[in-house]
Amino acid sequence: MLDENKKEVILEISHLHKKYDENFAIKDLSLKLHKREVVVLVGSSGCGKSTLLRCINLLEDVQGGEIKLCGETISNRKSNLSEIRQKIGMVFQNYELFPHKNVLDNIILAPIKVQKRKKEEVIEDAKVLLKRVGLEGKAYSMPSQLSGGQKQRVAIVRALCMNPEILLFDEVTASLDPEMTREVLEVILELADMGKTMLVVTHEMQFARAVADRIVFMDEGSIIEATIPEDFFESPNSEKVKAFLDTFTYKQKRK
Amino acid sequence: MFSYVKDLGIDVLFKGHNFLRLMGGLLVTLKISLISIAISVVLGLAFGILMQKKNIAVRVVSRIYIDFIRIMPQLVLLFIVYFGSTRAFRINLTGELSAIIVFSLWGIAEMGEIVRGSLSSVSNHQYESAEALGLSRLQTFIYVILPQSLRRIIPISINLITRMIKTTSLVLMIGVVEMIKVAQQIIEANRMLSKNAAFGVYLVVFILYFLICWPISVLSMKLEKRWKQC
Amino acid sequence: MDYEFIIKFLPLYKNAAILTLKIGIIGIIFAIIIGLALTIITFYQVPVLRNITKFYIELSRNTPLLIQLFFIYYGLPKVGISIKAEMCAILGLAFLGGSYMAETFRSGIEAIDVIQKESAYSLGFSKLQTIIYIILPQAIRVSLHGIIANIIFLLKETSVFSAISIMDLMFTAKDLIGIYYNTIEALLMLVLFYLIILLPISIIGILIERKMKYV
Repeated sequence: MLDENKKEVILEISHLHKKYDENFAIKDLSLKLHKREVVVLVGSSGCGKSTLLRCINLLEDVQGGEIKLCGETISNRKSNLSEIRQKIGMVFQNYELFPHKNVLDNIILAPIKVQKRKKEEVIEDAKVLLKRVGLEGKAYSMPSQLSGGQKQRVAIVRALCMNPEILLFDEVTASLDPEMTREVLEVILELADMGKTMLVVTHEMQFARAVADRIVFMDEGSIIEATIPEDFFESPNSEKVKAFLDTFTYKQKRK
Repeated sequence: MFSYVKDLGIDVLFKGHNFLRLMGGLLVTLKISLISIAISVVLGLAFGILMQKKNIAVRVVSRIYIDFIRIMPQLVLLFIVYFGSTRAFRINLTGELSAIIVFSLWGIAEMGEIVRGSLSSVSNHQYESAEALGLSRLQTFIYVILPQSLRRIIPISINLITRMIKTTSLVLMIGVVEMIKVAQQIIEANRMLSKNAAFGVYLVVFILYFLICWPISVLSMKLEKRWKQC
Repeated sequence: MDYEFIIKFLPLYKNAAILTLKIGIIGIIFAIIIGLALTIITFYQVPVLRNITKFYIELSRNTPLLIQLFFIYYGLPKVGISIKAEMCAILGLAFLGGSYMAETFRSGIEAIDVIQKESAYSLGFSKLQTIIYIILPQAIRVSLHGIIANIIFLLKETSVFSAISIMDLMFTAKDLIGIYYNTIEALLMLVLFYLIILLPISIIGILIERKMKYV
């Protein structure tokens, strides 16, 4: 790896606190993402990883600490949210395509209306991206005519088409069966190869190992371990990580 | 204070037996509504279950019945039964009886549709899993399907009561002396004494309708909300 | 069947139907406007106004149109507000329909998942853009069936207008029965004309419902 200081920092979270009523969802969390880096967030459900993504995307207020995007403080901003969100591409668990618009319109709506880009140019971009994820034939289909895996690939293209600085993936394969999971994960792997900066929340450990530069393990709103995949899977330091990884293996009952 | 009541014409209701008469009219309204509702619930439930049958004749006839009843204004149906029966069958139905017939026919159609809708909204897997457990068809219906459907049927049928009470106001148009008609009579009789009676008395009737229907609506809404989550 | 009677009084029914439709359509347009206004008040939780809105919706939904009309037509003149019968009918229909429309719009908006709004925000849409491009188009689609059901309901309710001496279809039928005793013919034409008014909109409703299912 290159010397850390030389790399451009895209996302910097320091001492973040997030409370729901009196309960901490995120507690004193600090995390740095460099350009072209892929960080995978893992942890049992309710550990705060989805909340973290929502905080970064300004869908939640935070009660302490700071989030910086490309050097600019963005946490608890009240104005120009749109400008910041354009730099952040978010993909949700249940796709959240707009059901009343076809695939192409879903993708081009925000670039045209929000970024005020030329329609022809955006359509061209969109078609290139659709081809890359293997959906060039579906540009004029309605979301309801697509399979879950296809919808999720469209959602990824929709986020990509805004040319964001960073992509956030929130359990994007949790509603998909194994085959569809694979087609979506392959798209994300390809994005990693292209050098996109990504923060990925997932339960797919094999995939996490393949795609991550760093794996961050969260528990009760804090980071317990953050390390390269090999160390995380082969020699975890924390007992909590060991217990977590154990939930993915089964011991044979019969001798 | 009293002069205010007089200006608004509400004072008329405190003269003689006027208020009691108005309550008598209200009783007629409630009587017609409740009898019709009782008939509608019982026969509507049976009708809804009958419509589950795959038989083509049953389906076509019930569809035509429901669609005709639901597309016609209730007042038109009242006219057909009240005026039409005299001519067509040479029988003289009283206004009240005509009203009960019409509202029951209407209620059965509405109830039947509600029951059919909620029965068919229970997923097929429920039937299959009940059968897989060895329950008979009747047992499946009684223990599995009906309890689930009732959670949808009950709130909507409670709401039907308020619709029935409101619709009963129409019977004054076929000469039944119910609450609004009594109000009209009181206003007429006191035209000389209290000029503003039309304002006060109709206002009171308006409020009375609200006081009766509103709690029932609230109950229906509460039940619907509570059972939605289960 | 007395065909001569039918032909003779057909124009009378036609005029009555046109009057019913005229009042009905104007009333329904006002009902939709009121409904939209109330929806915006509820959506943005405007203080005071939203309490009034809530009270109005309950009042209007829990009282019969007939007493609403009687109060407007016979009651209000006693406190100095005199309104022509036709205006009363429009007012009554709008008063009744406004709450039904508001409830339909509200449930349309509620049917749209919060996360749809969030996904629009994630793409950088402003609040207003989100409402215009994402929420409203979906809400209208979801409500369309309910709006049509309301229109049918309100057109049916117009049948009570004869109670404030508007010469609508009911008035005409009752008049003819009273004068000529041609009950069967008068009732038949009554039913036919209501079918002419209500069938097309009902069919449109069914078609829309079908289309929504398969998209």
